[in-house]
Amino acid sequence: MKRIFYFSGYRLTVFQWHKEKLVARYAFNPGEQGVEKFKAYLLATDNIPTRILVDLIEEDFKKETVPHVGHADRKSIVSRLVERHYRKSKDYTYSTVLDRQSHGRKDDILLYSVLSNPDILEQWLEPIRETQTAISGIWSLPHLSYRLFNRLDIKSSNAILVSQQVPSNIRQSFFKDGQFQTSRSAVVNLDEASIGEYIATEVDQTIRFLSNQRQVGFDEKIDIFILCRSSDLRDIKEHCSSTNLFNYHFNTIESVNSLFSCDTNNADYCSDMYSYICACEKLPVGHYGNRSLFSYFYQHQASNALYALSALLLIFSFIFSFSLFSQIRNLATETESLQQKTQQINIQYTDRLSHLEKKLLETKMMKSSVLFSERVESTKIISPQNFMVDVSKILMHPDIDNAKITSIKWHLTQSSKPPSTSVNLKSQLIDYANKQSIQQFANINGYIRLSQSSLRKSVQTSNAITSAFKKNKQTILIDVNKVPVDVRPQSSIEVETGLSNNNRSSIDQTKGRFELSVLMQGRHQ
Amino acid sequence: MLAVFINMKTQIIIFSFAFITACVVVIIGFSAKDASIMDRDNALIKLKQATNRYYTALEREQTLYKYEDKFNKLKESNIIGDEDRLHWVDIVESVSNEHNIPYIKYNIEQQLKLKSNKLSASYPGIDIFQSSMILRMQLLHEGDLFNLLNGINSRTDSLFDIQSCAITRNSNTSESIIDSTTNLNFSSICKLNWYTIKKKSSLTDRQT
Repeated sequence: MKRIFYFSGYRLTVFQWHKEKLVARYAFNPGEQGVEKFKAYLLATDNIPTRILVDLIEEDFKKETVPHVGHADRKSIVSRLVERHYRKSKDYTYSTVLDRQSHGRKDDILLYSVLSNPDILEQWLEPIRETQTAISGIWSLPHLSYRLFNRLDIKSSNAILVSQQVPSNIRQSFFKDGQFQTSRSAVVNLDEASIGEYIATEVDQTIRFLSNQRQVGFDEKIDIFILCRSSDLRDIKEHCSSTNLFNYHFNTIESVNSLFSCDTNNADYCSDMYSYICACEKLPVGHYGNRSLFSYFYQHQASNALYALSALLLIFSFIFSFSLFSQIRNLATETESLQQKTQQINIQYTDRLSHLEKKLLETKMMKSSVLFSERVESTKIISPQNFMVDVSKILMHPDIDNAKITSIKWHLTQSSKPPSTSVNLKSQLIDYANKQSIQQFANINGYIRLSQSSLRKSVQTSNAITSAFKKNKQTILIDVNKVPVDVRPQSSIEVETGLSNNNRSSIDQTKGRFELSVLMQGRHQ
Repeated sequence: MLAVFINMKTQIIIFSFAFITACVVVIIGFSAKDASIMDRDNALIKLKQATNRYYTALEREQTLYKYEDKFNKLKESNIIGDEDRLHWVDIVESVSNEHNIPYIKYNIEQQLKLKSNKLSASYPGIDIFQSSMILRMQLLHEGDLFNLLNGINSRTDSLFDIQSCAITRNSNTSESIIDSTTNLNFSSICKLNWYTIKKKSSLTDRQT
């Protein structure tokens, strides 16, 4: 339900719209009795948000050029303009920028309207305040006429829209290039002349006024659109004939109502239709009025918002709790399934493995112990016994028959280099955790029987020993630390013959001594 | 402003009620959800633990089948547990007697626990102990050394390795052993390491 208070300057009419249908119309005459009735009406009915639509003769429209400034500055300029001429009307001012000048400072062309006598409204606003009626705004009927202008699909650059809202007034609104420019209301006394005569006279006066104001040129063509009752159409057509410059168009109120698809219950005048236009304004922001007048509307909106918010909160909490409940149920199902799986695994464990539990705890130790012992056992192939056998095989060569081994010092090693002579026992320890292969290192001492062979033969023996070790596949490295016969030019050679058997042996062991260092792999490595 | 609040008292009360209800519902809902999530997470952790325990046990079972017999043999051989020095001494004595080793002197050093990060990583769960035995011998010929070392190896299941060995022909011997008038033709010194294994103590476990 939408409610409009239409005020024509004399009577206040209440229109109640339900969707596109006018469901009630009440008129309240001025004076104490009328105001009391109006107050009683307000108290008796629901306090639904209401809009006030004013259609007053005391509404002035003015155009000014103002500097192109921001909204706040323009507002202060307008309020200064209004204060200069309409001291009492500061709350009843509306302004809009029509255009911008194309030359000079490029000022804004501002249209502002003022209710020059706002006191006229006061007798109706008082019961509204007293009954705390929620007023959402005060709309100006001339300003709303552009809705009608648009709906009539008027294309002409100069158009005057003539309508009669109440029997005692006709209103003419002027549009230039589709924009509302000005409007004037005139009193009609049908006892003195017919409506057709009045309209013809008033339109003529309006055109003169517009010409004087230089809003239209004297030779410009003007389209006049008249909205009237079908019963008045004949009379109006008789008095309003089109000329070269003025072109009249006639629309009945019924036809215009049908354009808006509103049911006005066969209204006689246009006020019903305008109240519908006002009711259809989407934003609850009117043209006039002090904010304090709308405080109950704001409260009403706030209370509605609070109700809506409360409902939304409850709905949200309900939906949210439902969603959470479903999530919790899913989680519970998931938890149950997990618990069942756990139980199954535990049963499997108990059935199959629990009797081995104690042993299973020792598997790490078992594995480590076995692997360690296997590693130690596997190195046993690298032994001094095997080494001595291998050395015997290597030296079993015809060229080495006059050599004798006197000592072998053997040890295990993980190094790929021969140890230094100062190496201690600790550094020779084998680290079985080290993956580096275990090898054997030996110092072999011996002598060549120099006394029983020629110098050449001794050199050959010495070379044959080295060569025999080098040829062996197990040998990684061989170092000759000492040789019995050094035939290099920088060495001296001493040869002695004719010695007794005892002397021979001791000379062989001292002069024929050789020393080798061998790094060898173990067998099958 | 106060008048506005008074006028909208009912709406404010209703809104407050709705707001509080919504908050309570949301808080209770979230708490219940959190509790459910916690229950689910706990169940998931328990499942993971059970699965881990089961699969670890299966893995260990395989290890057990693979190594149990060998491990038992190690136990029987006294490689696992405390070392049996007397057993080693008995073996050395019996082998040297059997092969008529002319002279033998040996000593067993203090037992050492082998320590290295690599060892702990490669052989987790055990402590390895090493006792070094140094054998000093006088031999008739080099074959005595063969016989002694091979004899020790064949007579015992204990775990040992030969770390080093040196054999030197004595200087007073004649060039041929056949011609020699003494049975102390060679001197030899060998170092054997005897190993025993124990389950890693919990203290050592923590240290490693």
